[in-house]
Amino acid sequence: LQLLGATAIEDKLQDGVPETIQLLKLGNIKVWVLTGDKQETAMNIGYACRLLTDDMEILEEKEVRALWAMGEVPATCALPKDKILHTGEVLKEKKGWPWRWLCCDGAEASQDQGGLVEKAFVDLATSCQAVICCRVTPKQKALIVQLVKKHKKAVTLAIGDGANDVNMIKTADIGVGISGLEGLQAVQCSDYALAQFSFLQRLLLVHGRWNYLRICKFLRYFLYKTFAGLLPQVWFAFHSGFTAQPLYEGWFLALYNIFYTAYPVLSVGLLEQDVSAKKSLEFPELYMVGQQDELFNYRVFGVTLLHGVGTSLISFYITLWAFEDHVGTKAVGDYESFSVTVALSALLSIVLDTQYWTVLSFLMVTASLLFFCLFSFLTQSVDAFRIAPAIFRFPGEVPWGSPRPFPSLALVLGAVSQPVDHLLIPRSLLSLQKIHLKAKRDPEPSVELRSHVPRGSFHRRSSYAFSHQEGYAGLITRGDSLRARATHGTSPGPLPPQGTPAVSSLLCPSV
Amino acid sequence: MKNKTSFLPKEGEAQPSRCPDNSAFKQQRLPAWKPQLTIASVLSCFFLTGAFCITVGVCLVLSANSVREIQIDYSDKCSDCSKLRENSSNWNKECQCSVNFTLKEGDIFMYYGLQNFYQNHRRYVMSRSDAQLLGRNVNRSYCAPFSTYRNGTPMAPCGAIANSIFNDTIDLFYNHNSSVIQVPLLKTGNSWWTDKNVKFRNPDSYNLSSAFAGTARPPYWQKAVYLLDEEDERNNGYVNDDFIIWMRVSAFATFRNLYRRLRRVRHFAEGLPAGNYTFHISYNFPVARFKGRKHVILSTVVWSGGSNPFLGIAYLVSGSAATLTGFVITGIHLKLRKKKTYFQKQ
Repeated sequence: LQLLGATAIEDKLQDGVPETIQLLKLGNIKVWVLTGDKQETAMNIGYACRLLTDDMEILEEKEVRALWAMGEVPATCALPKDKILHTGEVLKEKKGWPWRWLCCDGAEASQDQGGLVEKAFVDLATSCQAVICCRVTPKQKALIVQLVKKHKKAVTLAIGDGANDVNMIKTADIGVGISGLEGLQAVQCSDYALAQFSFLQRLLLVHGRWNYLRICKFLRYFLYKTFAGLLPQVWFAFHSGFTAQPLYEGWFLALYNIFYTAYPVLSVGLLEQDVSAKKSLEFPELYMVGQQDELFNYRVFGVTLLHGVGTSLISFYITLWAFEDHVGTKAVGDYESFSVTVALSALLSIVLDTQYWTVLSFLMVTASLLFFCLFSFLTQSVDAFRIAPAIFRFPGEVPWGSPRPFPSLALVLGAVSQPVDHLLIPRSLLSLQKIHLKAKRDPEPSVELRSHVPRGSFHRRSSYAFSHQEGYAGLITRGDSLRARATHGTSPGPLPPQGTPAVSSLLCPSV
Repeated sequence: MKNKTSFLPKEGEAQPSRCPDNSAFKQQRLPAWKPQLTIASVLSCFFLTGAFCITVGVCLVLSANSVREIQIDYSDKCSDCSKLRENSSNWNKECQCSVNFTLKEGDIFMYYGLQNFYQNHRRYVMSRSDAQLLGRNVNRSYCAPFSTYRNGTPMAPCGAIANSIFNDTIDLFYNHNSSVIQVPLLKTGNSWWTDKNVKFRNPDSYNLSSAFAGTARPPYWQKAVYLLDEEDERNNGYVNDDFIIWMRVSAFATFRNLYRRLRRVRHFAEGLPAGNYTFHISYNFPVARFKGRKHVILSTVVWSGGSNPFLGIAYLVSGSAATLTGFVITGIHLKLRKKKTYFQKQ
């Protein structure tokens, strides 16, 4: 036999896949691979994209079944975990077998039994660093996603590029389709469509994180300004004989949420960034803030509520006690002072909360102030009163022309006490602050990450795989098995028609 | 939010790219200022705020202390008058009452104060007709039950606020060398310009009594509205200063309204001289039934408002709290800095 040449079909990994997977793992996101390929291919792909490393212990399907057969099925939840957890392993399974095994047990036993087996499986799988499921049909992909969703309180994201991923994409909480060479079916049924797998890191670690931050700040501020603005009316009820007399003038109430306090927080909700995009990618640990619900939970809500109550008490009682005697040549517009104090303290709070001041943020804050002045002026103007005295009932309440030092001082005091209590109330981001401090120093860990070479291994795995089962490599290199195979015809076909790469004997897997 | 997606153009078609623009706004790369909480900025913020508040507080307290004020509660002193007024059938009987007091220095503004009178009650506040007070003839639905009499005569002015106007008359007399001089007081110029000239207008007519023809005074009033001040045409009718001041309802149950100002003529060009004074009060406003109290207050006025030292004290407290917090933060910072350098040396 004279070898003339070799051909190979390669299904290359996209650019940036290993880095993306590393970043996701650092961000405490568990990565599972569900593929229709066979076990060797899947394992090699796992090594190629650095989902698996050489220092991991790999649990294959037969070992898992042995573990399960060892103990009682319901108690397996506790037993193998102790053994597995401290070494951090990889679980691989041949999809057909365990399912059949589980299903058999499930069919015979009660529904609980099947549920417990599922739970045991999910517990075992989630205690591992990575999971690769091979030979999975599209329906089973969806079933696995469902299984994780049912037994774990976690958000699932499924990303795929082919029509066989459609089921899984639709089942997961977030479905991401990659548009590309396999057509557009995955893209059409997905929530997000990307062009490359490596864009996933930006999607999650940059935009996902920023959006979480923005929504939480937005919520916190909206709750705060509602409490701070409208609780003084409650305190006023104590002083007005509980007759529901409003403290603020009607137009102030109507325009408070529309013009006076809405725009700065819109700019926060659109543009806020706590760290830049580059740093977000360098420090995927920041992603854990969202996973642990740190920016908006019951505690944060309680703190916001207390802060709003405190602000309202300060605004109301300082103005009340300062104006108690109504001294001055003319009666000071006591109602008006309340609304001014409250509007300005609400504005001040969002000013203190914004961390990323773009031109738009400045513009919104000044616009809100100007709107306040403008609408106060318009609704309290003399001409408006002449036209419709029943609607515009307070002409001349705000003589902006004449300086009124006393009310402005009361207002300034209310405003000044805000930063003091703003900074004294412990903010909830202690862990985030630690990471942020790290982010501001030199990013040594990421440098080490990028030049990381697997220690103790001179093997660089590629995604090539034999089309044979293990054990045939020797036969192939010897060359004599080919003759034997041709005559027997019972051995597994040399080139299965699934399109797995066919490798000649000249290429070893351990290059 | 749209991410960086780009769909591959179909083969053989020249499709416009669906990439979002590479502008700073759409790629979220706007130039921005990111204030960092450095130790210098935080400390300077606290200390500056503290200094500012303490300064302002000191100024306010000093000016509040410079206000001289005398407050006399006369609801008890005129107890026989108040008992008379409790019985509403005595409404047309006059009752005079005198209160003596001694004044050390000159005071300029005279107020009447009411306590426990809830002018901020919701139905009370609603019970007025601003359009009627502008001189127009309108439907006075909010004024009920004080809008028309049973025989159909409308009330002018209508509403509970107008009806309950404070109608005590207070005169001040100075005991000077065994003769008693009435202190000249100004009764106009006490209200806001917009109230006097815009919000309250008399109906048009050739004279005031014909302007109010066909209307009647509110039930608790002793005089009709066009007889409120017969000496001064510009202070009569709806534009009477006392009426205007009363109609500007107070936000709280304890309040004071400006009543008269000193007219600096003759003896009183330099203010009220020290000596013995007497208030002569025509007691018309009953307060005992709702356990209210009435006061007369004489006070000077300064830029910072009045004798209420609360704002000054509040500023002082905030200023000291801010300064104290600044010191605490400085202390913590110094301690931690020493710790850091200690560990770094090791």
